[in-house]
Amino acid sequence: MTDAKQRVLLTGNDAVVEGLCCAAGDKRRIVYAGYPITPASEIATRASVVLPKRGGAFIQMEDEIGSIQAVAGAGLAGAIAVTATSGPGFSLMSEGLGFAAMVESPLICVNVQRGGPSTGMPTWMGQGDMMQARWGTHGERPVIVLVPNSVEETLLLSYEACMLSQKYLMPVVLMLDEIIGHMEEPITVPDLPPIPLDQDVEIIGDGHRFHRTGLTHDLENHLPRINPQAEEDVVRYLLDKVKRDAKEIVKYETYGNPADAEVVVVCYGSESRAVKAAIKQARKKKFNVAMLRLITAWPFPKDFFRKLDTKKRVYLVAEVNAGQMRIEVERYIKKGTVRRLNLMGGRIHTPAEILYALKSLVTSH
Amino acid sequence: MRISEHPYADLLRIEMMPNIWCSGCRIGRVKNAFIEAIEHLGHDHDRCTVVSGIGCSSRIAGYLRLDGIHATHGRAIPTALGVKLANPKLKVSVMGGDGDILGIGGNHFLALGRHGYDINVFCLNNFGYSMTGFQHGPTTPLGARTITTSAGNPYVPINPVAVAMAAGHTFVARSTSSHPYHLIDCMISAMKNAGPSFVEVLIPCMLFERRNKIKSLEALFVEKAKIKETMSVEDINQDDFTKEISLGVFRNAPKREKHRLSLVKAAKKGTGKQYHVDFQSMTSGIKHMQIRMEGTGGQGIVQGGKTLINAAMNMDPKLNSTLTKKYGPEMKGGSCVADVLLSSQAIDYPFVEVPDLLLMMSDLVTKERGGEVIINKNGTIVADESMVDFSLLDNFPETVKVFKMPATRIARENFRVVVANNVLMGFVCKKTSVIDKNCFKAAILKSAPPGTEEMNLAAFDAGYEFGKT
Repeated sequence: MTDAKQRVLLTGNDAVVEGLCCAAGDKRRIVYAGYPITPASEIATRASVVLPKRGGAFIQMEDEIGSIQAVAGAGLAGAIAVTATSGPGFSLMSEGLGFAAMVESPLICVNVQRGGPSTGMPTWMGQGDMMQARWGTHGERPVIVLVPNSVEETLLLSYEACMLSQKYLMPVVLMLDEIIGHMEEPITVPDLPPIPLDQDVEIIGDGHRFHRTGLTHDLENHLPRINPQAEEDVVRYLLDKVKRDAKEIVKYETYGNPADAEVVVVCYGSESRAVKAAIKQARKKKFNVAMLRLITAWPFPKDFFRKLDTKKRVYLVAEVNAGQMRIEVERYIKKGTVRRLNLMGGRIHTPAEILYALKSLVTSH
Repeated sequence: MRISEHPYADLLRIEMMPNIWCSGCRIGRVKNAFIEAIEHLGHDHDRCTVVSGIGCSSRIAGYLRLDGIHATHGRAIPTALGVKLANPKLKVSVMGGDGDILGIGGNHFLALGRHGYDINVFCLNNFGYSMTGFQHGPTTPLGARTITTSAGNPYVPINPVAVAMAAGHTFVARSTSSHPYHLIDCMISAMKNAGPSFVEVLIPCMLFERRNKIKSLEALFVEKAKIKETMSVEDINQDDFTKEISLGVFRNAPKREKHRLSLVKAAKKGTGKQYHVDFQSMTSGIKHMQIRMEGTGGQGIVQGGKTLINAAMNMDPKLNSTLTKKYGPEMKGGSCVADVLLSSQAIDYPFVEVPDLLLMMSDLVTKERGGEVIINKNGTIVADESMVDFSLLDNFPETVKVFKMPATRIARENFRVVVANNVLMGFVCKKTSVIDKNCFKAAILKSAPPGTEEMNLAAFDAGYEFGKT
């Protein structure tokens, strides 16, 4: 809370656009191409008003496949390219995300999650797309997924998504959920430095006359080269971009001391707000518990989990799906116990429900 | 002559040669015609971009030493559109086959005509999917044999030119690879046109010929084609290329002419009266307050929540607050809840657990919950007289204040029923005195649609006056 006078009320969806505007500054062009879908439509609404005024472009496409391809094209031509959607649209964008990764187009894809599968619950939250965001493309590609839990963090992560996509030349997915997208909170729009276009990166129209193909290609000139060695080179190169820098990219928040706690509640997105409230109450009751909130769901903070892994500790993974990130936690927790607390969607747990689950896990009180 | 001495060596990716096309294929001629057209127009090569999808003809992008994207199947047009939006100065062309542009990418092709961006679409029509061994496609003639219609194609083909005309492309032409000079002319005109251009280029495919025992499609094109200066409806509607093929320009309009619907009124500019409410910010003394507004979709519940949170922010900008909403997919009729939390501390859980102030515009939400009304023991309930069943509000301890007031009736009788939420706000403001009156009014002004400011403020005042009684 720096200057109380500058605080403005924004929804998470509004904050996405504000974050991008911070990233663009006065010089960069933002291209938004999207298709209306609840609960992400407000991002398009704000983009359609804000972007043309700043010299950017807004277009409502004919479908989500067109949207993701348009932003992939815009990314290759040097714009800050962004699209926003929800579950059904995100499924349609799967191929396009793989294409963008293959041709190394920097783009930002916002997924405001809702209840699924299929049409599900358009106006109610869900967290069921976490594994889809990781694996939802054929073949293998590098993945960065950011999960904010407040309006302010949505703005910061939308800026961060832009920075990461430009740095690693790949699509970055910003995973909101309906609660964060529609929630209004007062925030102070921070003074963030604009992200310049990297002069070493070739873009369309700058005279390099490059070729980008979704086919397996030569890494030098990007022309098609189809053989096992080329595939080995390309896929390893793409995956290594994130693998190499995973330690720098990974972000998480802790509350309490997970290295000392008896129970660590693992959570992300809007669910983490209920968890934090519950942990505060539990610690007042002298429960030795802590929270670990994923800010980057992918890459997953596996080193932190490995370090945290001791015999007696219990990890409670609280999420609004049937246990998607629990699978990942179990991969790195070999000595401790992993438990889960799930809801299928529509709402997050109440602090009371989480407290109730903690009571049965904590032995020291 | 060495290949590097080719007159167009600057525009060809020599390292990609030889190309993958079958001997006898004429896609190469279309590629050459495209180069000729660019050279004729004198376009800066660095400013020309070719985007293609997947298929035989989509490989053209790879052989041209221009900026190029070889996108996914059917998605050349939206990818090209993204490039154009990012840098409108570029000359963007799309190369694709009939399957790519009219089949899997058909939706994008239609939308491009409507969007009207300056993108040139060159559709190389070879009557099927050749790259995968010749399956039937959107333009495969009725009865033609392909590897997925071995007994003859049972589907009526589409007419690319007619579709392009209907979709609104501002330049529509047809040519063949067997008429190279005509093709170059068509391409030049297409690139000169400032809107979406579409050129259908008929090309012979060996696989089609072989499977249907046609001696030479090229000879057929040369024999049956007629280059025409003006086109009639019959030329557009041609459905049998074995009888006649009309080549030429079907439409070359500078831009798409379409009348605005007269029922859409232009927005009024600056005629509205400017409203302003002065308010003073102060320290509110609120430690933690949970406000819930509930009712039926269409009653302005979410709007009411917005008014509350904005009013609170007006009064005490340092206050932390959240507004969350729960509602169904329908605009009207479903249950609707808006939760406002105000706190001097950081707010974690953003929903109301036990409301300190409960505003019931209708009892739908309570009834869906089974009739139970949850309220803090020192809380306040304000219920709309005509919309809430009072038997729900009987059993509270005396410390709970329950107010019943006719917000909907006052709104209906004096204004319009849509401002009932603001009548309620006025009443709440007077009875609870948590948030200052002017802070409320400024919040209402902020979200009232232009032209309704006065009514909304009057509704608030009416509720406020009612609260005095």
